[in-house]
Order: sequence, then C-alpha cells, then structure tokens
Amino acid sequence: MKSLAELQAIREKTRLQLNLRHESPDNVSIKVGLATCGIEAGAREVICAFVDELEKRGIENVTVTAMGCIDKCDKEPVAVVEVPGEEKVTYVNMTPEKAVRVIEEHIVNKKVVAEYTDGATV
Amino acid sequence: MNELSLFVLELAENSAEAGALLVKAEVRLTPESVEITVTDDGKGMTAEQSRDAVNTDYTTKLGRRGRGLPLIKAAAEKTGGGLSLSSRAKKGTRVSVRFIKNEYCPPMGDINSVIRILAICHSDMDFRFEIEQSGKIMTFDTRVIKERIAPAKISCGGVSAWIREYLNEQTEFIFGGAANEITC
Repeated sequence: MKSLAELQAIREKTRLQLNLRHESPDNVSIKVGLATCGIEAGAREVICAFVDELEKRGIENVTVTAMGCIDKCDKEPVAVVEVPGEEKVTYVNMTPEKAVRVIEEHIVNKKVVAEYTDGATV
Repeated sequence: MNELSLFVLELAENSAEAGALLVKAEVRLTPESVEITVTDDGKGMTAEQSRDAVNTDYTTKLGRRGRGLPLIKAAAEKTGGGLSLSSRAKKGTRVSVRFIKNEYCPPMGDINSVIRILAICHSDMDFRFEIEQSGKIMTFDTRVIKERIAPAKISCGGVSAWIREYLNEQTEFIFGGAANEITC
C-alpha cells in the first residue's frame, strides 16, 4: 500500500534540487487545451503522455498545465510549448505518441518538431 | 466524449475556469446508478446564467464554449437520469448528475488519469475526490499531499509517480480491477 510517509521521503530526496528549480529561469511550460473540445479530442491521454514521459526521463523544469479553448477546436488536442527566450510553439492534432516525440526533440534536443506545428503541411 | 470520467474532467475544468480554488468531486456507484457530484468555490452564476449553462442547445454550439453541461445532461437523460445545477454568484457551483445503469450508460473510463492530471495541471488548485462503490470508499485529497511534500510541488516526478500508484491501488481495492475497465 502506498503510504503518506513515502511522500515525505520523496520530499527529502528532492529538497536539494528544488531550491534551484523554483526560481530557475529555464522553466519550460507546456499548456494543453482542456476545454470541451480538447477533452473530446483526447487531451487527457496527451497530458498523461507528457507527464509520464517527463517523469520517466526525470525532467523537472517543465510544467504541464491546462488551458482553455484557443479557437482551434478542429485541431485539438492542442499543446503550446514555451521555452524561455524562444517563440512559443503551437502543436496541433496531438496524440500520446506525438507528445513523447515533442519531449524527446523539442524539450530534450531543443529542436521544434515542425511537422506537428500549426500550419505545417503534413 | 462518452466516458463518465471525462464528464468529471469537464465539470472540474468548468470549476477551474470559474476561478475555483477547491473542487470536490464525488462519484457514487450502486448496482442501479452512478451519481457524480462536483462542488466548487468558484465565482458561481446568477439564476439566468445557470439556466443558460444547462439548456443551451449544444448541437448548435459545436466547437464552442459552454456546450459541456448540455452534453452531459443529454447523456444522463438518455439513461433516464438527469443533471441538476445549483449556483450562487460569488459563492460557487454544485452540479449533480445521475446516470441509470443500463445499455445507454457510458463506461467509467480512466478516472485515475483524470484525477492525476487535474492535480498536476492545476497545481494552484485543490481537489478532493471520493469514489464509493458498494460501501468501499477511496479518497484522494491534494491538500493532504501538498502538506506532506511542501515545498516540493505536486507536479514533481516522484510525486506524480506516487499519485499514479496510489490511485491504481485504491481503484484495485474498490473495483477489484483497473479503472479503465470499469463499466456500468
């Protein structure tokens, strides 16, 4: 059984890294549309894929948050990735598989996955 | 959107959009019905807004805001159940939906993922979930977790893994199987 005591252990383990991370200027943001249109299109699975992949890779400077409808309903699930100092990138028609690749290429290798972006001709 | 767990997500997202800081969701399963109640402390609605929120014809608002509640209401009514909403401006909103278990009742779907992503993606809000099935109850409360991990954030890797495993265990306990296998 998972116990609450385990949470305290996790806190101790991450305490040192945390102070650095909190005000860290290189915090990356991933926002996923979670309005009705996003939910219907499969945003839950996309968010889970982002969260699981970040967890698997031990990446801690990326926050995944929910956003409302940005009027791209026919292109949901939509994910907006913002790396500080760079232009924000809007990925459309996302899937769990695409989410894993965005983490791999955009977040880890710092290379935008152009074919998944809004307006890409693929 | 034809899963009860996605309706819970939709209702909780409405609460988030209403500026709620605390959302309480209860799911009660009996052999006859499933009842979902979501209560928030968001900005609430006037009587007129409440009527519109529930009664808008969602088929004419495809892809637009505000069709979530009518959509859930229609799904509930199809089973012979229904949706009721009570709200007070500046106080909060409470939505109760009742589904009768029959061939029209959507499956529960992956409720654990819904709980987990709400906790992580709205780390500035608090959620309390209570799921009851035949007298067995599981609870999940972000306030309890945050208290124990502060100043670490609920979204940090170790915590999100703990949440996933905790929810899987709890669901196993009350349903005797994985959450996404739960059907009406």
